[in-house]
Amino acid sequence: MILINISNKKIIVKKDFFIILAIVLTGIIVVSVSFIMKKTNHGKTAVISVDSEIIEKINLETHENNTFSIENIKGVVFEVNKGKIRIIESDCPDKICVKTDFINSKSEKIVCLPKKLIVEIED
Amino acid sequence: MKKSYKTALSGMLLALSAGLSAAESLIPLPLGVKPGFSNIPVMFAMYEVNTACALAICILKSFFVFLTRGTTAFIMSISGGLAAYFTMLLLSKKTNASIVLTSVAGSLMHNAGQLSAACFILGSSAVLAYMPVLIISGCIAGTATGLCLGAVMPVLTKIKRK
Repeated sequence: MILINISNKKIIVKKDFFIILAIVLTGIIVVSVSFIMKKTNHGKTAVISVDSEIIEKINLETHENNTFSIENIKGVVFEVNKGKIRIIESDCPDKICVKTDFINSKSEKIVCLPKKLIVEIED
Repeated sequence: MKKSYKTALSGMLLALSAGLSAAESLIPLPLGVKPGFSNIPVMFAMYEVNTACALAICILKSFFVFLTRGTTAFIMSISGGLAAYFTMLLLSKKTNASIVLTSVAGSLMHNAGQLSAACFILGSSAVLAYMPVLIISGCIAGTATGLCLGAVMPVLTKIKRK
């Protein structure tokens, strides 16, 4: 299958479909396995660390449902609700940490790269 | 190709790359996934101008990211960009891989480079959990940009003078 030639290169050949399909299928299998693990792998402690140093451990079961911020971490607001934790507000540019939404499984993480912040779930 | 013409064309491709990079950040996608359209001018430069021009666009585009989105974004952009650049250089010059395949490989290495940089910044391997999702999105984005390049190439080659 050749559309046109550019600098003697073909845009796409038949072989490409199989290579790309193989990579995508591998990815889908890994994602679906981790999705199943997510449902069964709940933890009840949130570990918040900055620059690979643990700042605070929060027990999600006993912690009251509210929003709070941590003194050493400026510009970030956390929220605990029904045993899950999320970052509800952050002053970082891309807001990837906020988009991650609630987590409560050991295979999930919230990462904020500009702040070097990681929230992980443990037992 | 005249040297002055080549310089002007490189500048235009850089502007196109920076513009596409800014525009794609408006598309809302989860987990910081980006389509990577700014790779189209880089690949065009690699195939039709020369490899030095493509490298210049790749690095200067990262400086544009530094000006608009800060240091962290700059480190992520340049590590991913250089990883993708050298992968595509190898595939386009040493093999006869098709454009889409080159683009997919570049896109996957871009993600791998960015994840390595993220691990380095965070001092933790926690972000490696994103790898499977980034492999899938990298394949889709790479195919899309490769096909886009194929589609716009006849138009772009018209502005290129011998």
